[in-house]
Amino acid sequence: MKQISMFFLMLVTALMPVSCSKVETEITRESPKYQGDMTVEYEGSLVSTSGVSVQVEVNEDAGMLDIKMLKVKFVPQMPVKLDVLIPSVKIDSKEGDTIFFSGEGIVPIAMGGKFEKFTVTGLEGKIVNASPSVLSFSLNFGEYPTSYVGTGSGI
Amino acid sequence: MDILLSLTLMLSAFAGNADTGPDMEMRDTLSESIAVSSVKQLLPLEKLASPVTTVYLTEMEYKGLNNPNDLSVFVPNLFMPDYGSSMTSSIYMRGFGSRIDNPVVGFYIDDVPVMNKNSYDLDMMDIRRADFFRGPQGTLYGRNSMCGVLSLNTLSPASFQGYRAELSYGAANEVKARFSAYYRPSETFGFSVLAGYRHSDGLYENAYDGSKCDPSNSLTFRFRLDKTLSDKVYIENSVYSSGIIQGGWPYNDGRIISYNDTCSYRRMNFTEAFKLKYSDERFVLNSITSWQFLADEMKLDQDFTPASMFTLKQSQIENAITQEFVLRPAEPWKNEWLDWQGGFFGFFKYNSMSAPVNFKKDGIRELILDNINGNIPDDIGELHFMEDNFTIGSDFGIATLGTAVYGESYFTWKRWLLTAGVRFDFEWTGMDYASDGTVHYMFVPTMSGYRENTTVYAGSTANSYFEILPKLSLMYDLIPDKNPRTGIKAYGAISKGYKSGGFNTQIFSDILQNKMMVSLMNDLGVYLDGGTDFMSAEHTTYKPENSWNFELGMSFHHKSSDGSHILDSDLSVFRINCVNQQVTLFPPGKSTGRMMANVGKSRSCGIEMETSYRWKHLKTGLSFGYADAVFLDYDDGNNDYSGNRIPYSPEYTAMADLSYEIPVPDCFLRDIVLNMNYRLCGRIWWDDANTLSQPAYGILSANVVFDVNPVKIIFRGENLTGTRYDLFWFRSVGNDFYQSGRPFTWSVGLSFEI
Repeated sequence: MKQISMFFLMLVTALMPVSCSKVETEITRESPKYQGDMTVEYEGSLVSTSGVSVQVEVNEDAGMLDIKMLKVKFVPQMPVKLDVLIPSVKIDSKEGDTIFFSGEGIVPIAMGGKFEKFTVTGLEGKIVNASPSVLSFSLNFGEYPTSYVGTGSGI
Repeated sequence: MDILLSLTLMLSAFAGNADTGPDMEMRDTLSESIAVSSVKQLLPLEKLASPVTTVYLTEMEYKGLNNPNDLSVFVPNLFMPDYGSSMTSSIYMRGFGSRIDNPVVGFYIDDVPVMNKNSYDLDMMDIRRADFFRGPQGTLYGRNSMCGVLSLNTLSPASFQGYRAELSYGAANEVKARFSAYYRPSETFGFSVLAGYRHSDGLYENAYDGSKCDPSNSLTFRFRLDKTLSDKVYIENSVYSSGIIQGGWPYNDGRIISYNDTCSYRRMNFTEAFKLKYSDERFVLNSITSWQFLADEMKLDQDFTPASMFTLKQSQIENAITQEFVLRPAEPWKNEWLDWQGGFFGFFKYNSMSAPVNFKKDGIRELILDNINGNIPDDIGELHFMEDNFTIGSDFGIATLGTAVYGESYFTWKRWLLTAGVRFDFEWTGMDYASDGTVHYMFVPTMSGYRENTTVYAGSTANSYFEILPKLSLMYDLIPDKNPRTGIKAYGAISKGYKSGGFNTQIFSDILQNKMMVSLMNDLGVYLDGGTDFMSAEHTTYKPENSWNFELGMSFHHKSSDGSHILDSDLSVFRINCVNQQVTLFPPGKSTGRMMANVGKSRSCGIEMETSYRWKHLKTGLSFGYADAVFLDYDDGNNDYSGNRIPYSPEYTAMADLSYEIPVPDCFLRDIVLNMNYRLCGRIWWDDANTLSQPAYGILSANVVFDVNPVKIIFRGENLTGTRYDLFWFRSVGNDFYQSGRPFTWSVGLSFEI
């Protein structure tokens, strides 16, 4: 119990969530999963974490995709890991096996709610459907530049 | 009376002629006994390299020793506090013991092992003798006799024929009634029946509603039949049954008892025991078979406060079957210098238990929500539960199978007696468990509605143990020429004992609580860094506790030539080394359960002394036991308790007893017996850190018996000086609780024997 209450204290201090409603997600357990490295620029230093899992669900008809970062710890000081969903990312184009996507002003979702403070800006990325498939993107989580490169089974 | 006559006539059809029967018991009286009638005690008591305390029927009835707990302190270094309810049988001997699960002392009734410790607290009625064998008895008795065995022999129609009855009234409106009849229509057949009832309004008041929290009603029934079928075959069949309905758990916070939810205990026991003795010119074979049924239900206000925090309802049904064979040579096969016995013991028991913990509104708020929400700023939000009570269900199915073979040999050479024995003991136990809980939660204002979260924790686990329990003792008779009036013997003994391992069923609600919270967080996409198994399946099992006992002792007996002076004394020193000691722990934080853990090494060194002296009408008894029991190596990961005293067991025990019989010649009043006894209990530490303790205390009791044959009038008073003391301490949800010892009580009774 002590650990649970401590986690809430640090979580609130780190993330300051503000949201009003529950948001549905398209990500399922069967959504394609990538495993790779994430780098966060934090207080002037680059913090890298390996073994980060990311799921992507593409809806080509709607021209949108959802990105869900699983059990991610952005910086070592975080006492907990979170599932973070970046919904409704626009698919810009598809060239051969590669899908290009981008996003601006997307409010990520975690703990059942929206985190305005970490609104995503400058999101750019691509998925190369090869063997293995490669997912790479960069974005700003609020004021924290973040990038990711991972490989998986493909969409 | 007509019913009894009819029963006599019907059962007389079984009577016949034979030459053999329960010959050992025919020589006994009700106030002393020449021999122990246990089939496994081949040697007379004075030849045992193990101290024994014996209490006979007359003494038990005069002194009001109604329950095994009443033997506490009478036996040196034995502490059996009467707290909680009849479900609680905590036994500490020579510094070692346990509050939950398996005991360190085995309990036998007429050679039948009592397989569940919940059945240890029973009404002792018409018990011919109680023998407490101190020290490890693992070779002959196996599991859970690490520190001793309490063996009760009930009165049989072989040793007494007639009627016995008792009616008494005392403090707390306590009423006791007993009637028994013993018949022996022929030399080869006998039967007996006993029925008893006990009621008490209770001694302790629950300040919450002014009611007594420990009323009690119990019924006891016993039927026994023995028959010599031929010159080789003797059989005996016994049925024991008892039922109890009571309150219980009068735990105070240091000032008052006050809790709002029900605490109660109901139990029903039934035992069918069949014994067969086959003897011919070469050997004697004893077979003891039993079926034991136990059904009980406990309801507990687990926080023991007026708040509605959480309650437990634990119910179980257990069936156990035991079978033992004991083989020994008959007289023509014995050498002058060698005697022996060998045996086989097997048992199977299955326990089905349900133990749901119900969290109520105050518990949900204080233990869960306040704890979480207290760390979330108000402008962020808070966690809500839809329920104002929810249940964590826990169901268990525990099967235990055990088998053992053993043998003991007795070598006699001049004045030396060497006893060597070994037991090979195997036990397997498996548990299926299933715990579950469902809550509806909402994180406000993030979520707009309640979300259901269900957590299930189910699985199975098993353990098996194989133990080799050797025993070696050497006794020397210091008095040559076998002087029948004086005997001095010295002995040394080494033996091994063990206490079975088991499962921490009481910890499952804590495990599931934590899993529910983790599941709830995971549901929100939040994962604790590091391990999430605060407690897990590995905490649900614990290993056997093993000990080696080293003992030196002497016994002295002298009877004057005219028989007027009789002095008996025994003295022993011991050291017990224990590994994997099982200690009851309270899980960290505001937890609801208890768990048993193996904590490392410990040892106990001590001394025990018993002396009795009789001169004409005067009888005195003294006993003393000291046990320096400490942890040698115990670190629970947070604190190192090495060097601290083992809690819950007194540092020493002492008892002084004085009786005087005043004959009244030429009067309807045959005699008057006056008795006083003083029992002293040394300091008891309550916690592993040795920061809380109960100082030493003494209890003075007395009784006066007017013998107006065939009726006896008994006046009894216990704790005459009203000594205040605590028997038990524990901590729950951060609060300290105690149970006070019994205050001054009195009773007056009539007993009848014809």
